[in-house]
Amino acid sequence: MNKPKTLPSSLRDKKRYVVFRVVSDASPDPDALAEMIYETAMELFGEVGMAKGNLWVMKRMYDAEKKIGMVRCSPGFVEECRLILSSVTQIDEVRCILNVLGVTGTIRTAKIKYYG
Amino acid sequence: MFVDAITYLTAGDDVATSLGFSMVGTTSGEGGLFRKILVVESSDPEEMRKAVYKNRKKYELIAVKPLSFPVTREASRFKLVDVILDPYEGRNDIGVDHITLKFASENNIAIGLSFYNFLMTHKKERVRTLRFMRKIIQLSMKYRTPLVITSGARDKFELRGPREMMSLAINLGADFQTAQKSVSSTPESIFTTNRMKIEGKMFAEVMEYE
Repeated sequence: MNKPKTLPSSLRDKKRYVVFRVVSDASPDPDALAEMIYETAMELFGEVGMAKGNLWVMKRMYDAEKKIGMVRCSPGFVEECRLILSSVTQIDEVRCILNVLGVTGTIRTAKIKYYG
Repeated sequence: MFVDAITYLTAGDDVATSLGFSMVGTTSGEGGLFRKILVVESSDPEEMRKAVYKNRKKYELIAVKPLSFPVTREASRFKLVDVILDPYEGRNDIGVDHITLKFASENNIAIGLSFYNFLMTHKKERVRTLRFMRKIIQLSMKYRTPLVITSGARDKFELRGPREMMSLAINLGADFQTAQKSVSSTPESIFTTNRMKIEGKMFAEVMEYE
């Protein structure tokens, strides 16, 4: 009994996965990308907004070759998430555009639709 | 069909295409998906009127960027103007009032908001920009004034996708349909109508429908 039991599915938070594409001359480092997204989100919506939105940049889902990344958030925070991604202007001094490809309910669908 | 009505781009139509735009208005020339537009910056109403009169038949879209409130008021009454762009810029208020918006609504003149102003400002200045944008969106919805959201991009990395520009309006209180119209049907109808007028097809098209 080292950790609490997994909550039943009805009590777990609902999630949405926002898949985006990086338009830039070079492929950015996933850590720098995540850091920039968190920084921008904090600037736009603040700590409470971020906590409510349950924003999480999924670094392991970043495909450096295709320059596709993924952000997890709550269903009510998708529009805010789009705005956060669109307000990123540069990563590691490299200018870029983060263009949202789509929003999915599961990682599996995201992989099939956008990573495949 | 998504349209970015007002930009200052000289290149980057490949990026605009990949972001999903089918038409981009730019001040620096025509070709591909680029359409030639004019942005009149003026602080004198008479000067603004003259500039618009002189260029109306040359451009598919004429936007007025007012540097004083009398220009905003005059532009809202002047049917040859298509868009009043960023009326709050350089001011300590939103730059429009209910009378201006009523006139603009009657004359089918859109109020334009640039995403560039949101993108390029930070902290206190961004708060101010967003506050004014929110109020303009609220009032334009109340008076049914057409709204146009543009990127106002100076280069290709300042472009943003249509859905991202919509999300700015939605986050500032616009409903989904208003936001969608502001990047698609409103700017598209401006370009289409003016092109038909320039080519002298406007009357012929109407006759065909009859």
